[in-house]
Amino acid sequence: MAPVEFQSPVIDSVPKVNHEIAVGEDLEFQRKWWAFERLVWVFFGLVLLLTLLGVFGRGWLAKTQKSSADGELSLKYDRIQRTGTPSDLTIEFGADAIRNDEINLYVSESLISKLGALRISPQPEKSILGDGGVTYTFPAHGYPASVVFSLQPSGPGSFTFRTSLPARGSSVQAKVVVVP
Amino acid sequence: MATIVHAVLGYLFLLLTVRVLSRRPGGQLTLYEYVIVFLLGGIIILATVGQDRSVVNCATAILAVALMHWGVSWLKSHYPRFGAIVDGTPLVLIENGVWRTEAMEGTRVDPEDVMAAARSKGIRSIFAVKYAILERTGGISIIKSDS
Repeated sequence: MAPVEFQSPVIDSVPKVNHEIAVGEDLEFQRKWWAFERLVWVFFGLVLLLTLLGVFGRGWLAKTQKSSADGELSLKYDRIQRTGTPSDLTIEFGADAIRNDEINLYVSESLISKLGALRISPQPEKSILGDGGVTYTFPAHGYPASVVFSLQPSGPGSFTFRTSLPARGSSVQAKVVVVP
Repeated sequence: MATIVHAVLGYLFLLLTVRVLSRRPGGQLTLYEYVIVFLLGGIIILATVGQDRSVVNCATAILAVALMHWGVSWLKSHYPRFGAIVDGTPLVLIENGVWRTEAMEGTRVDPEDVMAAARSKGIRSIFAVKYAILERTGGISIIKSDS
């Protein structure tokens, strides 16, 4: 049998209770830990409350809307989104946004690449690439008219996107924070 | 990379949650505590591997968690104070036949749990228990009265 290489003597170092039973109790530490536990539970409760309110997306505080100065372009979206979780960006157009029975809408590339615009409803008739984004053409016959982009961000971060009506010059810039 | 970060954060978050939840998970699990342990594990898995369910991604997550666990074990063995934070310290629940209510309330251990541990030692009455100690593992050790 091979000899044991590392050995050390056994020392009775565990503190005893009533000088008769070695327990190693540390009541002072335990009291501090219980106080810490109470703080953690308060923190957990706070996180749940903030989540219900939408601070981390999909709630009342996450939803917002923004309009262009002339009111012809209006965005309803979640300013706080979650990675991999679907959400909708609804773009509403004013009566003057429709020209020759169609609406031309420009969206910046970040909406597609960063915020993961997967689907557009209704489908555009035409998509033209350029100016750091895509210009979509939708047939439209009257007011009110709206388009819905289904978003699904692939990663966390803070992203800015821009939408505009090139024919009128109406523009809206919006910022979205994506949480992990 | 995201998988490793999620696995590390998931491990730490789960460790904290289980630690503040109660002393018992891992020790004397009751049915409802089994539910908590499996449910928490299942939820953390979803966030760790995400949409990528490939063998490489799952193996990466397992290795990251294994390394974290090894690191925590190493820290526990080298720094007793760290061990106390992760596992707690043993706590006396009954001292010389008297309940320590502060420890019972702090650890949320019921007298029934102490009695169950006593019965497993062949003790019929709580009066025959001199010391009951809640161990770091979550188990309850019983020392009989001399009389």
